[in-house]
Amino acid sequence: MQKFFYLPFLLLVCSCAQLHHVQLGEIMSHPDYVQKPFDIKISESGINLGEAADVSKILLRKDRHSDVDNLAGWIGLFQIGPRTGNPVYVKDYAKNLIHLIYEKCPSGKVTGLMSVRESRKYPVISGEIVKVTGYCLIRKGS
Amino acid sequence: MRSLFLLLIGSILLASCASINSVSLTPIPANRKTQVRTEKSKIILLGFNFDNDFVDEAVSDLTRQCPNGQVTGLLTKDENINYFLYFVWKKQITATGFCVPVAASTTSTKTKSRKAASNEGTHNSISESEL
Repeated sequence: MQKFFYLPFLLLVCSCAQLHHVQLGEIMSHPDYVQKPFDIKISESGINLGEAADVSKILLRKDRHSDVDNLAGWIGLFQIGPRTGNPVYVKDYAKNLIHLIYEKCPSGKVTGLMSVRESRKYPVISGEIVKVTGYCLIRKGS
Repeated sequence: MRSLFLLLIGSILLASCASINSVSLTPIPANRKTQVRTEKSKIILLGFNFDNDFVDEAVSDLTRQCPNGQVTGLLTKDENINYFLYFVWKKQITATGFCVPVAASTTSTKTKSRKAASNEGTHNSISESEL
């Protein structure tokens, strides 16, 4: 019986990963250089309005359900357009990506750059992730 | 009659719809003799997918196929293949490109940088421009 106590907690914590987009850049292998791998992950919270409305309906009285739908509908009107994942409320969260790449590879000799756009879905909220992996080319002996 | 029925069921279950998420392309080289290709995929059952790590091997796979050269003209295709009623689907990443040996790419870069230097009256270091 005690096992079932943890079941709702597990359902809340475990997430589904959704892949939206993958892009590969040119790859350079040179005998004079070694490739040092690096990995950058930027994430922002997204909100699923539909699920948020459903949760609100559970908590509110029945006569307020239509208000919840109206509110979700009104907010939804401002979020129309092509997108990947759930809407986030910090639009510039991936802005500093290029600086982070320079931090990881100060020489700027970057190769094998792979950018991945993915989401981690939890109930109501999601992690909207931009992941970049690549290799920094370092001259042998330096 | 039974085998016909089985064939029908089998073809319904195995038939799939493909949809493309994104395509990207890097500059295509003049030397297109050696082609490299990698394909990474993952079967997802009922939408339960807990990581997308299957794509991580793509770059190292291409590097292995072109150990001393530059993989360029890289076409990356990101697609979904959906089987019967979306119960099962496959995420597939296909990358195809061309391996240009280091010597060849250096020679072409040398020629380019010489031309650029003669046109602009500036000097470009070969090792800097090649990387």
